[in-house]
Amino acid sequence: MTETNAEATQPVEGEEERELTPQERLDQLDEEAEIAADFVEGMLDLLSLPGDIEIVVREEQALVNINEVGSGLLIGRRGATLDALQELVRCATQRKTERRSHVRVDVEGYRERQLEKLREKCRDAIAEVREHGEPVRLEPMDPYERKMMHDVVAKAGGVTSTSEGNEPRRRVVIHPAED
Amino acid sequence: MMAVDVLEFIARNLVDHPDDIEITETEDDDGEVVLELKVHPEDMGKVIGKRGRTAKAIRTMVKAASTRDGQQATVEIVE
Repeated sequence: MTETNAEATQPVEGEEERELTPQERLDQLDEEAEIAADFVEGMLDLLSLPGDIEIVVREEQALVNINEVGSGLLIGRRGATLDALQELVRCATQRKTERRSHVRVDVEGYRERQLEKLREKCRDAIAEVREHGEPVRLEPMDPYERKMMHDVVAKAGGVTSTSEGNEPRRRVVIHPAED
Repeated sequence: MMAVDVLEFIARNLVDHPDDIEITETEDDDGEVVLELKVHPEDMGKVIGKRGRTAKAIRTMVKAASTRDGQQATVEIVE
């Protein structure tokens, strides 16, 4: 299994590993997204915030996106509140499903825009590796973001990528491809 | 207070003994609101998390909620 795939499907420690069928995996992600959306809805109610909750399940990932909130409250400085909300959503989801959850929470596409910025930095780093022939380390990212960076590197050609360090400081390293 | 409701909501969703949740509102020396969260001993790990990750997330979320109250609330998790 390559690093890229391994990051998307870290098994829970001690949990029996069994290959799930794509449909079983999809059902799990649907279940996680539903629980996560309920949690987010409860939170919006308590904060008297409006918001349309959109659930997206694709590419091995459940996403709950909150639209039309009309407030930066749930994002916070540098996304700190959004990270906190996502962490709590994952904890709540894990308690109910007894599986590790990687469900993502976004507010009005904030994370998607951040991801695009990371992809741009990744492309700059790839250019640097090609030019100097030396590895370049990207900033620490969460497993999903790292997977996206591995994808950018894989599509670029002439470079390869690995990950190093421990969570939450784990980062992608881009290397020149060996001839 | 929204911050109290948010704290209770979060705690209820994380613990196995929701009936044992106690939240006490106090003030520190600077007059800031401190919310003391008490949970069942078996649930301590659930509200603290690995390396305090969950506790940190609870504090950040409750702090954000308290700005809706026009205040600045902090959370203390007590045994």
